[in-house]
Amino acid sequence: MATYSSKSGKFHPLSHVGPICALQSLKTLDDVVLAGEGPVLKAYNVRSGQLIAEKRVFPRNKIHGIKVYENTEPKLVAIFGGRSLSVISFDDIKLPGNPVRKEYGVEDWIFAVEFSCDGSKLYILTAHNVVITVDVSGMTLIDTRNCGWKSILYSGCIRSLKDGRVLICCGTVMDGILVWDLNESKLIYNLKGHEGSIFDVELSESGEYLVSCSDDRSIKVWDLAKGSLLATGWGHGARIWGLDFFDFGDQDEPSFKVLSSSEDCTARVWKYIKGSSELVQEKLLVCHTGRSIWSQCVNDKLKLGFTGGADGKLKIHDLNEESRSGYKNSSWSISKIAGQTNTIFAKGEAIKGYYDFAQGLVTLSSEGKFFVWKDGFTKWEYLFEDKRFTSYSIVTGFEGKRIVVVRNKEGNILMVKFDEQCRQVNSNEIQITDCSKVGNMLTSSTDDRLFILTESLNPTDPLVLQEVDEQTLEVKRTDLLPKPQGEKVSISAVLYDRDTDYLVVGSRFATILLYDLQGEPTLSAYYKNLVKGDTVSGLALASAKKETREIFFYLTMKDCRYYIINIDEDRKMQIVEDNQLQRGFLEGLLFDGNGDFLLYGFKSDVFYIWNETRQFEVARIICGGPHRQWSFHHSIEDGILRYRFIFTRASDLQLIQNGTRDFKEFINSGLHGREVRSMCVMNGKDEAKLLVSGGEDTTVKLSELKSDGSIELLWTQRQHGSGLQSVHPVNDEFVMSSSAREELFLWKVSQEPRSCLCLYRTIKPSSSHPDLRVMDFDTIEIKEQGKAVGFVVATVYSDSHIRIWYFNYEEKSFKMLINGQYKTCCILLTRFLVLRGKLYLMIASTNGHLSVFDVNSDLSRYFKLDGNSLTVLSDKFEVSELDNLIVDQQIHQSSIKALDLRYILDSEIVVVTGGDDNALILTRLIDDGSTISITPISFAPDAAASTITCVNILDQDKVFVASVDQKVRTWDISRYDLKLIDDQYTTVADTGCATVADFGEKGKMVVIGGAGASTCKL
Amino acid sequence: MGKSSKDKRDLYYRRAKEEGWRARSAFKLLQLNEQFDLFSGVTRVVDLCAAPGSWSQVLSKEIFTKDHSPDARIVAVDLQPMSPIDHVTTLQADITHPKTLERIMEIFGGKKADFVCSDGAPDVTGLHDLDEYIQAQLILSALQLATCVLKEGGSFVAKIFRGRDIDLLYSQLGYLFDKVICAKPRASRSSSLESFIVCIGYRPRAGWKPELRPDLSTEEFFQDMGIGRARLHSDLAVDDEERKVAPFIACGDLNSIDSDATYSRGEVGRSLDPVQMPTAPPYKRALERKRGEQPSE
Ligand SMILES: C[S@@+](CC[C@H](N)C(=O)[O-])C[C@H]1O[C@@H](n2cnc3c(N)ncnc32)[C@H](O)[C@@H]1O
Repeated sequence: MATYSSKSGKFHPLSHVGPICALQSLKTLDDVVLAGEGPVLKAYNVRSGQLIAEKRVFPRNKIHGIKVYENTEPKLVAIFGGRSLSVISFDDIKLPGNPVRKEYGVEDWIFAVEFSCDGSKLYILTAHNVVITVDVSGMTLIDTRNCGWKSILYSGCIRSLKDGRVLICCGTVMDGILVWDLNESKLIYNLKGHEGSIFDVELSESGEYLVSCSDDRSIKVWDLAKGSLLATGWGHGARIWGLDFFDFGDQDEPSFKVLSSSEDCTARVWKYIKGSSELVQEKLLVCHTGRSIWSQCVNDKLKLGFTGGADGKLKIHDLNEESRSGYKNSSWSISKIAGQTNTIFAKGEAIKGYYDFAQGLVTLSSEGKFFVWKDGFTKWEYLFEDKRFTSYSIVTGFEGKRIVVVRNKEGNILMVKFDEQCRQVNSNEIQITDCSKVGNMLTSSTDDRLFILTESLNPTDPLVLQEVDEQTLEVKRTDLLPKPQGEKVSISAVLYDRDTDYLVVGSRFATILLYDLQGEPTLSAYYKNLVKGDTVSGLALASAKKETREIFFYLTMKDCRYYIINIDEDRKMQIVEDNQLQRGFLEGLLFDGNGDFLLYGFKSDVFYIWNETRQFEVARIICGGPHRQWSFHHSIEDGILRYRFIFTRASDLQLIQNGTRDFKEFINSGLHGREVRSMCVMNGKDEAKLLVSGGEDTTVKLSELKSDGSIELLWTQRQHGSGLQSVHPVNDEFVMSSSAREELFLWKVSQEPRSCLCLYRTIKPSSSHPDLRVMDFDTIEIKEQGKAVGFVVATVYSDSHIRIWYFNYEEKSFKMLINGQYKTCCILLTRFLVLRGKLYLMIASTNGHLSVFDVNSDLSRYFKLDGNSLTVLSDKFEVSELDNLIVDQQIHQSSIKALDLRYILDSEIVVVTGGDDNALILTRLIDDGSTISITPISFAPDAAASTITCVNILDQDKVFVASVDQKVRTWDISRYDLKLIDDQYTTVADTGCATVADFGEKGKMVVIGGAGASTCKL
Repeated sequence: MGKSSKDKRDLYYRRAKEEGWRARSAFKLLQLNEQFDLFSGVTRVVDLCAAPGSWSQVLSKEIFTKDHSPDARIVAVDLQPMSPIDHVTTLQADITHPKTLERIMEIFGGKKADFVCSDGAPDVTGLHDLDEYIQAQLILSALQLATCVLKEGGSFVAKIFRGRDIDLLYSQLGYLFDKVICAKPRASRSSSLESFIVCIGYRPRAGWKPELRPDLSTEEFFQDMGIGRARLHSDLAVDDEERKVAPFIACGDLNSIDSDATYSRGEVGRSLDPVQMPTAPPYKRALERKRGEQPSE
């Protein structure tokens, strides 16, 4: 192997987001949770979410478990991962700087540790069911014991009991759970009942109960006194990895709860009541994405659960929502309401419509009875009866104004204004006269303007817009808004913006109407089918500019798509962000106290609120599905989202309102739920760096890469149908991504109203083969007077095809220019080359060859090469055959997995390649004017112990290389000779991609992706 | 999530069906043999983690369709049941269990084997370090058996995942075999971590006798062998274990089917001839140099 030269090229790790494999809460220090993130131990405050302390514990191994010895306060922390172990005093965690000094080790994988009751000894359970006892003060071995059964385990748990016994439970690879006594080295039980590997076992503190979970997706509760199975719980949709006890009932009512977490990315709460043979699922927490939840713990005192995922997210769960101040869950039947208000309901009379005006709910019965639910939704009051308002009435209101608006099918509109005590302060009745037959009615309001928009059932009638005075409830003005000629309109959402004086109306048939209310109201523009789906379900203002009358707004479609839309000064509509949720009905959007983007709606039998920014479910209310009367009210109080969901179920009115909390909902929001496959960095606004990453989880994510190395997730795009292959920028505004099913997507990155990603164009697949992958691509920009007007892109495929396309931002369509096939092997990488002013295309494939095609003669018919970009000469484009393979040189034994190049002269390029064969090769490509030759110059056959997956040339001297053996190395290439400069370990497993961000004066940063992402500084 | 899983019906799969192999894995063994001539003179084989049995099929055909000694024997072991294969004794058992090894040795009736192979992989959890560890344990169990039944000079082949600690295994195997090579047949996808460790020329450790005791874990079995495995110290010191990179050899003809490629039905692409004639790739020399070397040198 090459020798080290130490001075330059060293990495300094900055930040890491990746699988969280260990979590531990403390009994004597409530507000702290400890997390193992890679090899680093972190302590967080659960109330503020802040990082209190962090310490690197191991040089290589990930932390897989944490155990704390506490008496009146936390004293000692034992941390383990793989075969490594460390014991430090709790106070030392907080000491600044320096990694943990001492790493200890045993010869086998550690599954569990436990302190003796007095904290003097530490028991260590290994993967072969051996317990090693260690004297903690000197960290010396006392003895090793086993129960005569040394097969391989998948899980284990040790408990020091008050009576002096030490119990060991272990989950084997096949069905059984072994329970043994350490002092006697004797097997007590081999509990049978599960099928397959046992992935977690947990003993209750008293040693009375054991819970276990396995491959078979069930959770089992065992009685340890008898060695018998007590109860089983089913529900998880995949393997279950973790279990914790909490909430033990008292002697009179023996019960407990269990938190479980799974490969299905959900955590669940289960309740066991003594005597029952069923473990009942009480709560479902949809909280992670991608592969799995890897770790969990419970703080029994605060009733908080914590989960850590493969997605790097650390989520906090409220396990006792019901007891939080402000929480409400109540149900009122018609007869209960009748009883309390002393009214008599007719047979079949039901509550038909309602409006939540924050302090109360106004309801209307099918017979025209008005009620208000008041006093913090505890009391009902009968208001009045108006027989004109019966079944077909609409009940709505003006948000934040405590004004309820009710309209019947005859066009009578009744408005009632309430005060904070839910007393009526004013009311007024108006009439719609300009509609032949009234249809839907919507309202919109700003601080000082209130509008009612009504449509007629007669399609030729205009819309009626009435402005209402907030005090008198009189109509200030009525306008007729014409509909676009010959277009079907059925209004479903409305938004009035004060700054631009625009009224945006959402309709069915994917139609958006824009009315200009300045002066005589006119239909300014309408947009049909620019958004996909049918019904616009929600509209919300993002930002607007008064001077230019430009407006940005959010829009949800009922069929699960959402958009950010811009209408510019020329009233041209552009989509800034478009995205979709998996399934269900999307009803609207809102922002929480952090500014996170939240969506709400229905799926199967639940109403959900989903945090789209951080990718977790905020709330899930079982309501029976979307086909019912419902109302959703929300506000931000002290930075916390407060919501109230009221719905009708079996003619009862049900209310769920969340309470306040003094802890965070999450600590980290994480990144991809599976391996990161490709990444690139773009320049954002105000020198911000944007990271675009594509994952095996099929998502493309946009994040901000901060100069301290941290990565903050902004958006997740779900439009790819399979795991990502490549992500590269075209320039700072456009980025492309590719995957199987021949998907090649062009995305536009916008900075307003926030950084977001919008699918701009796609290339139509040539076949329906699901496995046909666009492996890689490269682009060259086309400019006109210095302005980017399009680009040429070369795409390479898993079926050995090579294609070159032309794209123009005006026409927004891809035109194929060149089509051809290399061999039959899979092409992995491609790059355009410019040699002596001519264009070539280089490819690298699974056969280990570097090949060069001359594409100049074909492309020069249309383009002129101008430095690094092209200008269009002729647009008479046609498809030509790729037939000019000029070099086909084998370099590696098999797949070339990574490649980077650097120009030395306009006729000479240095190419560095890394392969599946562990080799790193420096190759020179020279164009002597008549021929192009590729000559390997320097060859490091064992440059890594495994596949090299990343090669990034950093500057004229150095190249960064990463490989699947979890090594990152820098090599000196200054003298055409590969020399190893730096060799470090990375905690990112399945190391698969890297990108370099240039922070100018602050230097360069490398982002390494795989199972997680790490940043380091050079 | 079926969404991201690749289409399994590739050309190797189709060819395996045509040729009567139970799994496409057969081509991996065939390509390894093409490169290393593993089967020559081999009549007694242990095929570990063998279900559904394509490796056993290949071996059975190789050994029993030719002239063979009356001692010729194939034992195939797997956790899963296997339907019978001509001339193959199947055993449904866990190879990590000490008893299994005893049973295999009984079938061999005290005689040695020429070749031990294992294509085993555990059910992966997705935790890379744990999966790699369990895989290493499976290889270790196979090796444990190999050290008990393999004749001096015999060969050992096992599936590996080339993850972060694979260099530990390379180093340790280097103490037991003349040659240790990491081989990747073209039938194995380059997008997967899978490779095969090919160990040729078994040299038992001098002064060390294998001892199969049910109370010894696989780890303990190797403890005194002196191949550089970490052990438990009274001060819990972390052993700085030796790491070595085994030479890598891609096997199978470059023109054979590429398991990463997508083939459209029946179509074989037109091959382009390059203008410049290729020269010998750089690894050719390196491989020649490596020939006969072992990585522990
Ligand atoms: C890839 S398949 C082997 C395919 C086989 N070589 C063929 O050609 O048909 C891997 C096998 O390893 C087996 N296996 C995994 N762990 C095992 C263990 N501990 N003992 C025995 N077999 C095991 C699995 O049951 C599985 O059938």
